[in-house]
Amino acid sequence: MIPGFRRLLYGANLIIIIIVMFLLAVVINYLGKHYNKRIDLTASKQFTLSEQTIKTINSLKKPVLISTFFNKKNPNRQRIYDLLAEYDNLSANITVDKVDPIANPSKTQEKGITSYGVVLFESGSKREVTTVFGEQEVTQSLIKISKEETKVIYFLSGHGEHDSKNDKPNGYSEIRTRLANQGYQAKTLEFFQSAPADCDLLVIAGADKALLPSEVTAVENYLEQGGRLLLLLDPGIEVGLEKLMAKWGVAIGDDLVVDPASSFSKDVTTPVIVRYYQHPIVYGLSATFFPRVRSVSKEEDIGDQLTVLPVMMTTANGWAEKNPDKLQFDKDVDLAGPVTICVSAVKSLLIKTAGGSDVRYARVLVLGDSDFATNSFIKMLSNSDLFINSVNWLLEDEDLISIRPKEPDERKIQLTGSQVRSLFVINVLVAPLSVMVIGTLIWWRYRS
Amino acid sequence: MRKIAAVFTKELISYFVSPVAYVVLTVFLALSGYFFVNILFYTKEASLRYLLGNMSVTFLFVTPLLTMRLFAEEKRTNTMELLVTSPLRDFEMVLGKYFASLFIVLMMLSATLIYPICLSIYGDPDWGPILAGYLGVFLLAASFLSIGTMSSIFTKNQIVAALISFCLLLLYWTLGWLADQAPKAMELFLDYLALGSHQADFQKGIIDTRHLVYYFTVISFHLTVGILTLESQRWRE
Repeated sequence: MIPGFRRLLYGANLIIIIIVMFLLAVVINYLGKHYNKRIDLTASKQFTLSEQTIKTINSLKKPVLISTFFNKKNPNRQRIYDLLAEYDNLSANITVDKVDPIANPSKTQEKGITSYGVVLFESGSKREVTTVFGEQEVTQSLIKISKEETKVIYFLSGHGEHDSKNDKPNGYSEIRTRLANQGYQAKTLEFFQSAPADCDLLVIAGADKALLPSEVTAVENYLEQGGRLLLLLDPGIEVGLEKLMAKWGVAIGDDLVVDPASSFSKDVTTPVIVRYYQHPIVYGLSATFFPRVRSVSKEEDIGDQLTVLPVMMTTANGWAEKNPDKLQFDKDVDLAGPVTICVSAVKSLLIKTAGGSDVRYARVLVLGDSDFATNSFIKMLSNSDLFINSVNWLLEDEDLISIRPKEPDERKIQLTGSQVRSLFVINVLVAPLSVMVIGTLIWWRYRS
Repeated sequence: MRKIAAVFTKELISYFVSPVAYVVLTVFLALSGYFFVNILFYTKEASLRYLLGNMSVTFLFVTPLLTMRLFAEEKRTNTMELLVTSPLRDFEMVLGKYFASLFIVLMMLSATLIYPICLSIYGDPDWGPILAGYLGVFLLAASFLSIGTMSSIFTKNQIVAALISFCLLLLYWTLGWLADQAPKAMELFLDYLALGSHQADFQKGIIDTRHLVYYFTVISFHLTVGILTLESQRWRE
């Protein structure tokens, strides 16, 4: 054989061996990736997810895409990235996409994200945008998004309510679209005789005449079976549910709320709400406004099965005007601010079922205005977020989990100026210089 | 084993006779110390998480200097003949020299232990992530060295050896960036192949066996390619 050919043969041989070795390495790593074990060495087990989370992740059937929208300056960014990496690690069904909304505005827009610091969960046609503080929110969103069934929202009609199919300024078609984007299905109900079997939430928005007594009874029965009701009212209109709501701990005031200190384009009867109570519906919400709103507050005497919480209020300068023809605060008649305009009530119920009894929770949210969610106003300020948050809260499942949040284990060091200086001298000057001196000495001895 | 130890000792002595080891150690310590104080000043956190990330980049530049001599020098001074005709097997030679360079890296890392000591004087650091972080950066540097050792076998010029290994390291390091543009399946593959993408878990304080497997295969692969190349050079000479 000619020597050149032989060399070529050896060369080719070598290359083949290297390729085989590389493929072997790939296989080993593939196995290593799938049969891995993780050991969390942090003192507070920061990165060990709870049993509940692991169960949720393992039961995922469809792929979930989690996109984060944090800019570089967000102080929570690293913490949330670390947390989501643990989810990513646990399941092939979870993919995490980190989007910087400033560096990548087109993607942010494409995903329909309007605020920074949020996390978007997408699975199939379902999507959910939330602010994440810890494991609980992430796992809860995963549970929500992986639920197969679609929640159905019934809009009552026939009493002059805002129509969810009407795309005129006074209609509710925009909110219907937004609910559909959240994975909800909206239906219209002409007359409330008994709740349809698939009714997950009943919305009565802006009725301008009273419901029939039989309908009121139907609403009551529905609620007593663990129903959910969103009641949006308007000043000066009786809808027939006032007495029922009083039984639920919600007092509906016959008045008009006025707030000269915070109002929409100087119309004092359109208060802009910037102050909220501690309530999940309004957590982190910015300003909302309500064209003509009546006061809704908590009844003083409520049963012990009820939890009634105020949601939002006007400023202290506002008041609830009993005589809408003369907008002047009269301390004998009018209710002084801050005036509460929205209240939530939760009632725990023991429902008899075939196999015994079952605890269920009925939820009600009453707001003194219905116009804030019409096509003309829904896109302004945070009105849309308020509506969606309310629906989310009303439809929340009681079996949703609660994971004790882990305190971020921050170990801060406060250094004085002189401490920083001495650290600098030791680490930047003394340590390297002493190595250099010792090295030079050894080197010198070997040389000579 | 004894033969590996003999090569190791001989190589280690030559590290200390030449000024390279000291210069590298001095520069490395000065840089790391500067990063340490700065990061501490800005984050005010008793953690080495960000420092160890910076240190990996420093190693990217430093390790080619440590390995460039290993075989290139022998070839240039023609002592390779002696090595080749000695009863030493190729893998003993490669491993002995590789371990010597690894020892230098261990020395460099030990010298940086003054940082966690400083942290524990002024604060209360969580030792778990520090331990995991050190393990991670050690495995990373060990992978760098295996690539450097292999590169040194490829050529008889030290500078060329350093350049080859630096280019390879940079390529390995930036594969993760390429991954962003690639299609999905390729993205995962490239990202996994990238040397740097396995560091985050260690720095958080997590030891995941998949990263251990990754670094061990990287090291074995490059050392074996080195050994095979050395063997083939024997045939070609």
